[in-house]
Amino acid sequence: MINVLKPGLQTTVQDDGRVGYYETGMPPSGAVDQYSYAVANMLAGNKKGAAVLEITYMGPALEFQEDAVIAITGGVIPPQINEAPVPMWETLEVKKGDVLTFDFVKQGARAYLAAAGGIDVPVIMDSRSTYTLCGIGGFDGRALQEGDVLSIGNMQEKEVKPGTRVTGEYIPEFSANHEIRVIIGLCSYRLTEESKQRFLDIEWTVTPEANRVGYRLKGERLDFVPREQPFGAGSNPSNVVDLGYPIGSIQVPDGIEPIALLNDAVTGGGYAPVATIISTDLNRIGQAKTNEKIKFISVTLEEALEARQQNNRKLAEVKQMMQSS
Amino acid sequence: MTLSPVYSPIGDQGVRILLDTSISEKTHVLIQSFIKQLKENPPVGVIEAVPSYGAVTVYYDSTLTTYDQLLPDLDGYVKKAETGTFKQAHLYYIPVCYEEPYAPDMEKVIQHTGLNRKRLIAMHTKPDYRIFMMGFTPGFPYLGGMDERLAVPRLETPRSLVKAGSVGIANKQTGIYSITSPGGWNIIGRSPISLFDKEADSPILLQAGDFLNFYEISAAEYRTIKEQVKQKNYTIRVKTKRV
Repeated sequence: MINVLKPGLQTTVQDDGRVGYYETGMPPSGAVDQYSYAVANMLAGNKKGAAVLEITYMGPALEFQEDAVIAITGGVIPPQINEAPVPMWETLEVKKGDVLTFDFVKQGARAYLAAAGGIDVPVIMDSRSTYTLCGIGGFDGRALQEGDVLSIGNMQEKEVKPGTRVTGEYIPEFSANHEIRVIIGLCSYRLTEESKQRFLDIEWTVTPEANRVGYRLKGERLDFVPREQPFGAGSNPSNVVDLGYPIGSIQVPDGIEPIALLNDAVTGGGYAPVATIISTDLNRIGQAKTNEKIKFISVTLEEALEARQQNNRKLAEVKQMMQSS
Repeated sequence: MTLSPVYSPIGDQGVRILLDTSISEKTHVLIQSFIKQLKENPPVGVIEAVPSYGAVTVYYDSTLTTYDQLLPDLDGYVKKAETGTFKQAHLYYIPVCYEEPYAPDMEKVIQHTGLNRKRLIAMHTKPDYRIFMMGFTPGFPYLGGMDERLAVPRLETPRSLVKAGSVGIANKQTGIYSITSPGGWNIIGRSPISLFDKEADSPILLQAGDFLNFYEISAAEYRTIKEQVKQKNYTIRVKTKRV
């Protein structure tokens, strides 16, 4: 058992997502930074898909009611056990009665805390992820609150020796200037040629509206090609006939402020998606904080696949290190 | 039917197959037939297929397959998709109270359409609406078949909270809010039933391809049904429809 002494700003139970329910309008939820999430689980010796805590900006204070093995990865929100700093990206031992707290966020926005065995909450529609908008999954369908008591499950597959760590290239760095790769489309044809180019040239600023649903960005106005709106489409030139949005898709309502959709987003609507963030870089955009800068880089499908393969190779190598530890 | 489907990548995890740029039942049936084939015999790496009005998006796991690998399989299914096959669909009867306080935009819609209240409700409750797509929020049905005389533009400023069950009109579409969420549709009534029930075994009531029909209830009936829904002893009326 883990007692929640303080909940932190927004701490939720997340896993690899509620995949396969787009057709019902259900977004996947799950850890925003799937790379850091996966490594946290590996360091804890967990099976793929075990649930962890996603910690945002300001960490919780957690009291362990039992001995446990944990690992913390992701954005740099420095952890402390009984007020003594402990490393991230390393398998740690905690004793019954230990209190885990976090210092102020130094880099990135989200950290992941895995406990060997996983956080045990009911599985809803194939996932333990919290989707707060509908109040489902995770701990009571909401972010943690003071006084909550979390159970540790039995999703451990291997005992990883405390002190095992990943280093160097396996630890992502998050600066305040984020380069996020996108594939242009589906409805980029709705932007003028000049605005399509400007979308890539502008250094966008993350607004305070940046959460698990989406990131709203500030920059300059983009222009849409004027047209006679088709049947079923709204009257604004940024509207199209309603269509499905995957996570990572970027829309520009009224041309003013682009919104990049993240894991808890609506799954469809009537705004033209102008580009889609490639899957590996979804891990990175969720690590951007308010007032940090984002630049979109247009890549081809081949480059996106190469990035994904590289990401998978890295995860396989980390997994290998755990096996031999 | 000759088709000239257009395939486009959505990031590195999706393929959008555009079949038609307007909203038609024929295309919808084709899309349903395509999805059926895909579900029965999914190519390696395919996660799911999500219909919209004139298109279908196939999501895939790019660690298992690629866009280029998938296209021939998808194209094969598109070519085999049929419009003619009979299919059984569900027709759900949805009670709606068109009275205050559940219909905040009714006056506006009356003004805009020039219809009187009685006529407006009669026109809204007449069709068996086809569910073209699900989405926006979990369980929200996008419906086709609304009488175009009921069309009203979206609100200029969306409301930050629209109650679950609210029945709205936006342009030439009508729909029901499945959960309490922000929204910009004109609200002309509210249904006491739940389209999304997190405590149910399958939390989402409706599916693309099904139909629904609205029928009018009084505010008193609304409260009665609402209470029955809460006590979990309300059964929604469903009929099988051949399409």
